[in-house]
Amino acid sequence: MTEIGNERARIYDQGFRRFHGSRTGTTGAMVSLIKHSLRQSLGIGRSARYKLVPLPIIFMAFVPAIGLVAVAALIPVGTEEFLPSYAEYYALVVAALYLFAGLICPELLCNDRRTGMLGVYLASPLDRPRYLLGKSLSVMLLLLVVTLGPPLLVLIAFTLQNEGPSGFGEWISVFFRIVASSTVVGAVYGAVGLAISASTDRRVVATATILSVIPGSAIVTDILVGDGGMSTSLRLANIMFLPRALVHRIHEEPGGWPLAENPTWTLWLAFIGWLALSAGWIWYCYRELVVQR
Amino acid sequence: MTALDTPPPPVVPRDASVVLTKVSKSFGPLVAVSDIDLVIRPGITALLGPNGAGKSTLLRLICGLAKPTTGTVWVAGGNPRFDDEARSHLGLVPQQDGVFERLTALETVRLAATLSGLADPEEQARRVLDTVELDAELERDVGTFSKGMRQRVKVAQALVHDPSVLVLDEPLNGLDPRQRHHMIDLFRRLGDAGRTVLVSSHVLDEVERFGSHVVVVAKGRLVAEGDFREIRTLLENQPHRIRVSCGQARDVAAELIRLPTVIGCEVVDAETVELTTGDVRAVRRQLLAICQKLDLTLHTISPLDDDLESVFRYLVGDRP
Repeated sequence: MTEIGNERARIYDQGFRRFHGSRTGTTGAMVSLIKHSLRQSLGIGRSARYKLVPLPIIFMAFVPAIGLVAVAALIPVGTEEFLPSYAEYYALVVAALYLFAGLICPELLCNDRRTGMLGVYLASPLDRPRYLLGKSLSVMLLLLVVTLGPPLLVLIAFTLQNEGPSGFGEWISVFFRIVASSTVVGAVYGAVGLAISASTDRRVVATATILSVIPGSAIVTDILVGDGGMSTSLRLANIMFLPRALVHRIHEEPGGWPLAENPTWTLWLAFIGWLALSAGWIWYCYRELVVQR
Repeated sequence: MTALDTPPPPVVPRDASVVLTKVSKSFGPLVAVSDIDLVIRPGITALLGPNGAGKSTLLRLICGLAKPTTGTVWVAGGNPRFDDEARSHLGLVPQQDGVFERLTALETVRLAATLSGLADPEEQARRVLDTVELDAELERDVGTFSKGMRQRVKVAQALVHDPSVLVLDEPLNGLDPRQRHHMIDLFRRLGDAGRTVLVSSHVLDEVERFGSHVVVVAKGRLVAEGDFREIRTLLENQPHRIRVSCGQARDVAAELIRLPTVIGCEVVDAETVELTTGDVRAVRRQLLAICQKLDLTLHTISPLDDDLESVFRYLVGDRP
C-alpha cells in the first residue's frame, strides 16, 4: 500500500499496484511450496481435526524411543543387553512409518491435482520438475521426522545418561549411521508413496494402495521365495523390509530378515532401482498431465 | 465501564469535530472496518464506498451505536458511547426507517426535542419541520407517509437540537428531485455555518453537489480522503482524458499525437478531439502552440474524467 498526498488530499490505498520489490524467483517458490506442504500435512494453522491423524502417528513413532530412554534411566546398568540396537529400532516403528507415508504422500500430491492448485503452482516460477522436487523434499522432510527424530532422541538421551557410544569418534559414527539409515528408510517409503500418489488424484485410493502395496510386497515375495522356491533375489522387491535390511548393513549389525542372505551390493542396487523406478513413474505421470485449471 | 477500561483520549487536532484513531470493527470473522485513522473537520464531508464497504458501520461507530473492536472514536470532545455531552452534539439520520409509525410528524420531532432536553420542544419541532418543508399541522401518522416524507421526518428529528455534528446515512433516499435539491441546499448551509455534516450516499453526482471533500472507504479500509479533484490529480497512474474543441480536428490530432506527453488521441468529429495524457498542464500549453501554428481558435478544453464518479471508479472500481 502506497500512501501519497498533500495537505488537501491523501490516497491511502490504490488497490492493485504493480510489484516493484525484489522477487525471490524459483528458490523462493520452492521454499514457499515446501513450507506450505509441511503445514498442510501436519495441519499447522488449521483446526484440530486436521491434526488428528498426523500428530498421533508421529507420536506413535516416538513412543518406543521414549520407552527406551525411560527403561535406560530406570535400570541404568546392563540395559544394552536387552534394549534394541539403533538398527533394530526401525522394526518397532515400521507401522508408524508406512502409515505416515500412506497419509502424507497422497495429501501432498493428489490434493493439488484434484483442487486445481497444481495449475496455480505451475503458473508461478515453478515448473513440473521443480514442483515434483519440492514435493519430494517435503515428503522426505516429513518422513525424517519419524525416521530420524526417535533414534536421534535415543542417541542424545543415552549419551546424557552415559549409555551412548564411547568416545567422540564413535558417537559421530553412530550419528551419521542414524542419519543415513533414516534417509534410506524415508527415501524408499516416500518414493513408493509418491509414485502411487502420482497415479491418481483420489487421496483415499492412493492411501489404500500405498498401505496395501508396501506390506503386500512382503507377502508376495515371501510366498514366491519361501513357498515357491524362487530365487532369493526376488526378495529385493520387498519394499517393506528392504530399507530395514539396508539399515542393518549401514550399522554393520547382523540381521535384516528376510533379506539377511542377500549381498549388500544387491540391496543398494535394489534401493537405487526402486528410487529410479518411482522417479521415472512420477515423471511419466506428470510429464503429459494436462492441467485443467 | 470504569475509568480503568476507558480508552485514553486521542491527540485531537484543534479544529477537528470527529477523530477516529486506529478504529476497527469486527463481526465474528468479518472485519467491517479495519484500522481507520480519520479526522473530520467542520463543513460537509461525503463518505463514499461501494456496498458493503463499511460506511454504515463507520457511521454507527461515530454515533456511539457500536463499540469499536479496537481503537478510539472521539466526537465533539468526548467518547460518544459514554459521554452524554458528546452525544448531545450528535444528530443522526439512519439509513433504516427510525420513526414511530403511530405518531404524527410533529409528535415524532417533538419527542426527539424532549429527549434532547430542549426548553421548548413544541416550538423547536415546528421550526425544524418548517425547515424540511413538512406541514407541522398534518394530522396523519408517520406510518402513512411516503418514503420521502419519512426521510424528511428523520432529518427533522436529527436537526431539532441543533447538533454540531450531523451524521446522514443515505439521506436522499426516496426524495423527489425538488426535495433532493432542497435538502442538499440545507446541508450545504449547515456546513457553511460551521456544522460538521457527514453524508453517506451512493448517488455520486448528488454528492458532488454537497461539496468536494470526500472520504472513500472500500472493504472496510480508508482508501482516500480530501478534495476529490486533488485526489484525481494524485492518481498519476490514471492518465487524464480531455476533450478539445477547436476545428480541423484531424490536423490537430496529427500534431497532438507527436507530443511525448500525449498517450492517445481520437477524432470524435470534424471539430472535436479526445486525447489521453499523463500531464494535463503540458498538453494545455502545447495545445495553444498547435492552435497558433494552425491558425485555429481554441473553443473549449474540457476534462472527461475528473468528476467524482471517475475518481470513485479509479479508486475502488477494480477492487476484487
